Amino acid sequence: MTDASPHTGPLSSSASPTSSLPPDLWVVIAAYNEATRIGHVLDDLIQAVDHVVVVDDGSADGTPAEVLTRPVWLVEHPVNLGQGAALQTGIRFALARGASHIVTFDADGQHQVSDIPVLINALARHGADYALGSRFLGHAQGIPWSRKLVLRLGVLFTRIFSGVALTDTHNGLRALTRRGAEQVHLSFNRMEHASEIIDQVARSGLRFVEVPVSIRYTADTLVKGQRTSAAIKLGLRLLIEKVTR
Amino acid sequence: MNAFQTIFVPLCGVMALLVLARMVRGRLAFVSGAAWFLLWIAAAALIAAPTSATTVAGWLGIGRGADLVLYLAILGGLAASLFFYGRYRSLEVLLTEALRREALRTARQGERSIAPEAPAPAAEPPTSRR
Repeated sequence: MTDASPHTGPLSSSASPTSSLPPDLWVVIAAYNEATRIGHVLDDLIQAVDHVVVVDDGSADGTPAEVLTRPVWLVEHPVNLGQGAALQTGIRFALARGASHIVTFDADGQHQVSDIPVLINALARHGADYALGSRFLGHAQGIPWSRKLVLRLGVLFTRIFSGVALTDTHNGLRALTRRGAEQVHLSFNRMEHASEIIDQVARSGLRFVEVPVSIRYTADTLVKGQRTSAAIKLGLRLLIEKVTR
Repeated sequence: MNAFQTIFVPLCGVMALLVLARMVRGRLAFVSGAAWFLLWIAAAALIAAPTSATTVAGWLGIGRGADLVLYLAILGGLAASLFFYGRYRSLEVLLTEALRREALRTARQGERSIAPEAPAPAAEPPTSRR
């Protein structure tokens, strides 16, 4: 199921739809060596939401210190475990603090705060527990063709092995209701978690919806992104997991 | 018997006896112990009587004894890989959970900490005016 509402772009401050966000909405951010970028991300987020938790995944560049200069929560992994592990930690933290809704958000500035109300509204409109962002329904500014190809292969992989038809299976921007978040138990620590979460969403029996969102690529975010060889290894690991567990 | 058989048949026999000893002492579960015991005995028998592999291969429709041994080695290797992968994943999940619990216990917000050993900020003394 996809949300047919068009993406509306940046919000104006005079009539901000973020004022209609649930008061117990928590934004969960997994961060690893994002000291130069996370400050801007947090500055935008705290204008829109009341509760933000950053899970620092063993950064060595001062990311925690940068986070603590803002009124957000910081949870620190003692070593680098992986984005999947960090997101699961953040989800558990938010649920323990009574989150009614959780949004997972990237630390590198690729995601837009203005997409958060779009996701939350989609949950309410469709009676869904999961709203999954899709750059291919929305906008992916600056995406190289090689990255697009790898992502499309990921979509095909998910369609074949999880039986779920989505247009974007590796988008970190997603919204979950509390009920949906309670069904998520990520065991993959690294990037395989993106496929694992879709598997769990599909098996939960709860409703999910895809929502157009914008992703903004820059030169340094592309460098940090997943290489094609890593994507292939990820696919093999997921296959082995399906056979063995 | 050639030199290889002289060394490795007794060696396999010793390994089989060690497995039995571990089972008797309760340090090895019965099923895995029995499997290892039979594996060492089979290895000893194969080394002592190499032509037996050819006989068994013939029963199974495989051309040569060496091919049978190769196929079994490949299957055994795959089984071992899957077994150790499963163990690795279980350990990864356990370790992650332990580290996660510690991380959650020591969460911080700005200068405030929820860890029990962190001192609470001192309250401002009330001022009075007369």
